[in-house]
Amino acid sequence: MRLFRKKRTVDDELREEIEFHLRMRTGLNEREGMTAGAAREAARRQFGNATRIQEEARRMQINEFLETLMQDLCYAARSFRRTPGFTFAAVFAIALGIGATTAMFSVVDRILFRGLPYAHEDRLVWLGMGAPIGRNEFLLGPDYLEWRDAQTPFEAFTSSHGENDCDITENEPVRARCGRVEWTFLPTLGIHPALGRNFTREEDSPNAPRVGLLSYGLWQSRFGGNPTAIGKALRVDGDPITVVGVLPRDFEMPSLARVDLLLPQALDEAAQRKREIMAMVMVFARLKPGVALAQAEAALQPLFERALQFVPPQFRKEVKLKVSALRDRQVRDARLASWILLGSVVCVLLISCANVANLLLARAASRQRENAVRAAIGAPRARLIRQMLTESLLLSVMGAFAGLLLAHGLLRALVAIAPEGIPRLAQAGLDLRVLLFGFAGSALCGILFGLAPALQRPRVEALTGWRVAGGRPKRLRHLLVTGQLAVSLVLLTAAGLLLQSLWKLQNVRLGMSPESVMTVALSLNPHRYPQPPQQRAFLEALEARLAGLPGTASVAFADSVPPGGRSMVTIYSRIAVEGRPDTRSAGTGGMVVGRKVTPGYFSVLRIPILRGRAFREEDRLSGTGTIILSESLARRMFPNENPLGKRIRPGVDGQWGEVIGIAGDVKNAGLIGKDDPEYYEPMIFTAARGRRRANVIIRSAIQFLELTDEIQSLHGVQIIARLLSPAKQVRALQKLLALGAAAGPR
Amino acid sequence: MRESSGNTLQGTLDLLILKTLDRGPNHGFGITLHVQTVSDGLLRVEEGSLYPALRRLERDKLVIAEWRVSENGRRARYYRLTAAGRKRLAQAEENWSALSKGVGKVLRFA
Repeated sequence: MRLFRKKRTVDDELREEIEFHLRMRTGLNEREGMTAGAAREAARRQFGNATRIQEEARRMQINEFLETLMQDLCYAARSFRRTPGFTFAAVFAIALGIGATTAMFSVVDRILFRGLPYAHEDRLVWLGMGAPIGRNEFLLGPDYLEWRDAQTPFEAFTSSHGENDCDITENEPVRARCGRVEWTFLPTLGIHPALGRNFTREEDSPNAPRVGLLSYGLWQSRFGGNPTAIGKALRVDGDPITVVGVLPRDFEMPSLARVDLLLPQALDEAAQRKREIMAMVMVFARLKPGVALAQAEAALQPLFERALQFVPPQFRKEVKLKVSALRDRQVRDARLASWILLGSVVCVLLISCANVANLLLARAASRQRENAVRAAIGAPRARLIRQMLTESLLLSVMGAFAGLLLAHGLLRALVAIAPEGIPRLAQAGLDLRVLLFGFAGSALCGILFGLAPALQRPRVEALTGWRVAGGRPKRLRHLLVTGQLAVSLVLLTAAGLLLQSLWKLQNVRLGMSPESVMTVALSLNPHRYPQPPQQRAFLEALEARLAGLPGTASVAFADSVPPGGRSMVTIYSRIAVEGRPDTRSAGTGGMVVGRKVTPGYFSVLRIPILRGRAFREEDRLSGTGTIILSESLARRMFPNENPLGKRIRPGVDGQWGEVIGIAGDVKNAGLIGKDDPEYYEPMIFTAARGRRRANVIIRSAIQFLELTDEIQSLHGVQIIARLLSPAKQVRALQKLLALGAAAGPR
Repeated sequence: MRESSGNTLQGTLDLLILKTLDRGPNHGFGITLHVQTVSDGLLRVEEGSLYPALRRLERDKLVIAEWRVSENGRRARYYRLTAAGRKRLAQAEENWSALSKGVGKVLRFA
């Protein structure tokens, strides 16, 4: 509006000024003897087109910027159309750089830069005792209660019992993840339910009527996002709970675990304090304002020392107090990797910028004449620079559009091929923030590569048509090429190192052969299969059915599958050998993996039995106690003896068993982890010991999709829907290998 | 923004305007009259170029314009040199005399 008004006054002024001029000229003409009319006419004729002058002045005043821009853009577009080869090459180079950078940025943005969805996230910490036995630091129930009451550096202190599988058992049963948390959990994180309320202190006690909060996703899928869900009852593992609230859409557990339901952990505080039963909890807390992490850690030290007295002596040396900022704890090693990845794609972007700059320089050389002519007929130098910059910006905007399309595709590919364990990968997407980053990047790139040719001074000599060998642009191009070479070398080295480690991973000695082996993780509904005999009957029927499938070479069950899975981990010093003194006080001796398997396990995975024999059917039925050791465990436990026939007992509450065989070592701590020794026990189904969860391992020639269909159809789809969670995990073991590489031991 | 040297053709009109205004503030018509009279009618400033040039000089802050009452009692837009304009004038004069000296020598030689 103001611009418009300004234009009006400028017009008026100019009109008045011209009018004055005409009158003066008319007066002059009259004095020279013309008649009034003729004098006016002559003055007007001499002045020329007043409107044109007015327009010219107006353009200069107001629209000059936009008009120049349009003019430059049109000119640029025309010249690009004339040189499609150049244009395509340049846009392609920019698109590659911007695409890669934007895609990578959208992945690492969540890890490095974006805030966590909690209030005062910078003051949230995850603390506990770190022990080699678990990946997550924890506190034992009684210690937690003591710390909660005695701690000073935190304004809020809460715990979570973690997450486990639970079944929502109604007419449409589904497998869900239930998180169990203290009633102070949500307030500590600063989260308000999207609907309803948090549960109260009274509801978070052992004998209170059960309540729960739905995740936003479950609320949508189960109740169609209807607010009347509040107050409804839901059967979880057969027990009714009342829905009191719905979690916000962007809610996530600080451990990044998936949860569908949040239930009170209902810790029996009295029993915990007596150390009769001890729960393991994860502890989250919010620092008081102004308290540093190190201060908090120092303040917790006395409490830690006291808690250490209750720790079994062989553990003491290996237990550490860990207090870490929540964000750092969540991303762990992903931080460095993220910076490296981002750095390398920025290198790619720089290279593509340099490439485009080089292209533009080459083009500028051929346009020297044009520029010299334009300078000669009056184009100021700034105008020429502006023209060149407009051209390069137009290029970079076109490149950015192509690049963002590319980023969209790349991102999908990245998410699809990425191994598990990259935090927040699923949330990565091209939102406004990422788009802005992409455009800012390309604009910067455009100015960078546009400036190089623009700053070349147009040379008058170019007018002559002689080739001009300029010193400066040549040097600039040399510099660009040198820089490109240097950056490429860095990238190449990094890529080479990566490839080498990838090659090593691919060729790592697994100790087994995963080709055409598939695994299915299943767990039985406790209400449909409550008793061990029913569970056993189902699993045995499943085994027989799968073994009878055409194409199946062998079938086995195990409670976990290498290299990533490990459900039982014990410590070396807890394994007793018959006839030897107790070694339990001499440190932990490191981790030992235990696995329960059916007799077919070794043949399915082709794990060699080096000495003795594999399990037989009768080992499974008799329950007399047989054990197979891995080679490394046997060598360590019986260095100069024949291990066969020895009797050992894994764990204090374990069963004595006779060593009947030695199996080859298998990668069992993830692909990159150091192997742990391992022992195998037969998976026994007896009347007393049932089994709700198992991994089916099949060596088969058929596709794994057909296999899932087969399992689904086993007892009719309806029954199976109750057996397998909707998120049933069927995956080829080879895919599992990739996961093991990223996630390590779990 | 603009280069002071080069662009000689365009610079000539600017030089004439600046030089005229160096004598004191004047309006557009006065400038044409002055140039015409002083050059004995050899040079004529075209109005079609004069007013855009004045606007440009004004935008570049080489001259300042203000409305005043002229000698015959009419309102007229008077232009006055600024310090920057004076500096530019000195430069332009120098360039011009160098150019004309050079061209003159070439002409005499040929």
